[in-house]
Amino acid sequence: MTHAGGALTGSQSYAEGDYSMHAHTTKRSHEHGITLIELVVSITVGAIFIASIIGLFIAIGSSQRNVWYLDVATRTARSEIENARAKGVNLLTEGNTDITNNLPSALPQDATGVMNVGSVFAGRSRLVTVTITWSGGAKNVTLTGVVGRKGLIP
Amino acid sequence: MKRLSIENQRGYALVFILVISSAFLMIGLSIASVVAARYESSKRNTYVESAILAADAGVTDTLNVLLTQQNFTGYDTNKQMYADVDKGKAEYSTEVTYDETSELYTITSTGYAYRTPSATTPVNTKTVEVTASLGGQSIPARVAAGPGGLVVNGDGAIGGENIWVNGKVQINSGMVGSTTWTILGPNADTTLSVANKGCGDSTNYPIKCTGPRPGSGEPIQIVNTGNNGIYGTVCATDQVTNTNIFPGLGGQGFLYNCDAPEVIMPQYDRQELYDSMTQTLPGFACDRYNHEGATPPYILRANTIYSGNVTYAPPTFQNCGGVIEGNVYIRGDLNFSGIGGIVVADNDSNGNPITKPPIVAVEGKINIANHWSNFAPNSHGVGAIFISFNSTSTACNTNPSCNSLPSNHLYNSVNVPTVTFAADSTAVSYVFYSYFGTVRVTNGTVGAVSGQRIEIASNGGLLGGGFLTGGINKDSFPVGDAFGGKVRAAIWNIVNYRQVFP
Repeated sequence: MTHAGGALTGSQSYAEGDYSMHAHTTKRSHEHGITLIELVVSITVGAIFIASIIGLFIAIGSSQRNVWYLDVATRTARSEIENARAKGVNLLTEGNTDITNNLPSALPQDATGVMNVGSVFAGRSRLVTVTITWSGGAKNVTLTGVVGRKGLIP
Repeated sequence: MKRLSIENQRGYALVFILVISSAFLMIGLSIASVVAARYESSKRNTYVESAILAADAGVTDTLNVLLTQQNFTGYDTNKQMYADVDKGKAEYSTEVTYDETSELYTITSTGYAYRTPSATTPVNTKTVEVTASLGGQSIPARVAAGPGGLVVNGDGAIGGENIWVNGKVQINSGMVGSTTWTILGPNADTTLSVANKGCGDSTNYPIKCTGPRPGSGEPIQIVNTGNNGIYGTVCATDQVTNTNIFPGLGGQGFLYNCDAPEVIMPQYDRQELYDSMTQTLPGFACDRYNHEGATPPYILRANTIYSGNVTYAPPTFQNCGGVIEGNVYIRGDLNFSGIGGIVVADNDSNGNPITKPPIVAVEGKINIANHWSNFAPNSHGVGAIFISFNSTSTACNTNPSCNSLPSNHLYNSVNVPTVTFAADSTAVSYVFYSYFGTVRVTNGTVGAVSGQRIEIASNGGLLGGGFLTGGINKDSFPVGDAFGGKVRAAIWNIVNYRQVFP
């Protein structure tokens, strides 16, 4: 601890030192209180900010995963339609077919897929709709294409 | 110094926390904005895919229409593919160009993806361009039946060669104690192809049938199987029952899981035929009052429009034979009854031999009844091609440029007999074609038939040597082209596919 005055000697110095010490103690107590309030306020504000930021980063992480899932689901749905085109409409089963087993592991565990072979569109071609759902059904991608006898051929 | 120093630190922690937190917040918000942009981009990609798939759907739809309307130019206005609360909306428009030299069709299709069913501004638009040709070998045909299918009743029979049916085949035996008869003779090495595309209603006719199978949904129905049978190689879409379908001597019998192609009905450019006529004469009737004599009206003159009905109907024991000198266009009905042979002239007006079948196009109906003389070939073995363009559309009947019907008129016309052959005679070198309706052969023998529906009944038969002319677009015309004797399976080959960017 440093003193504000110069070097002290004898009782005066001691008394002065006591006074000085008392005064200093009073001053410091006051100063410490202010610092504590500062700290409490700072910590509170900081905690709020940090909580917000953590929440933000969690939301960012979640959004990034959803973006990734959206990309993967869109590619997968398109891929399923192309696979159906490669087979040709005659080898497809009318109605809903569960394609969950065809979904890539990049999608969440609860992701499900359904291919619907619907009504006749043109010639022998049919409308085929692929729906991929995840997050308990809250998120999904739906693509609808036409599958002919062979590719685009009706 | 110390107090001052402490006093100067007042609020520094708060400021420090605020600065650091703000920095993190800014970083976080920046990342969040990037993620949001990425999310929007990924969502947009879904609409891009939807737009491309809509454009693809436009290609498929257009290819399908081109099978029956080779002059189809595409969908000028947007056609809806789907509109759904969950999926939004997708539309497409198309444009068709045909290159006669390469015989290639180019289809430019633009797909539109909308966020909601009611949206009018697309989120994304994509264009694809597909070049395609009608593939498959031209194939001989004795019968080419459209969506109305082929019906055989009683002792009707068809022998040899290939039978192409776009709809269904129904075989009914109305004869008690009939001897065995067949669609294809037991010795036939031939093909019966049944595409099962004869369903739908007046709004969408014809579409592929999707009935249950086995059962009434199957395209081949054989009633009273004890007397009936099909011999040869049989390919029928959706057929699972092979009862009374036999290989014969050279065929393969019933082919399981066979996908029969739709056949392109022979195409004739009626307008081109009409425009090639060089004179117009009134219709005539060779009947009791004017049937005798060696001069016209017996003759159907080459390149002539007859403006009314043409009738060969001599009274009993009178002869009213006719001669076909070349292509003819009749703006009425064509009727034959009584005695009198019909023959194609040996030579044209220039003295050149007629070696290609003349075409007799009729706006009305063709009725051949109680006719006891043959339809004979000329000395070169050439018969004629009789075509009725009659339908339920009176506007189309009298319009030479009408070569196709909308779904509602085709649906209503398909079961209407517009060509009836009920003569006790043979016409084995002749072809009869009902462009929009039914050909009904109830007696006698003809060479080949084509129609939206074919009915063979009683003693009617197709056992002759005639074949269908056919093909697409310019294959069967200009006038005077070779008698092709073939039709084409409706098989598209996609030569090129590319996305078009603005």
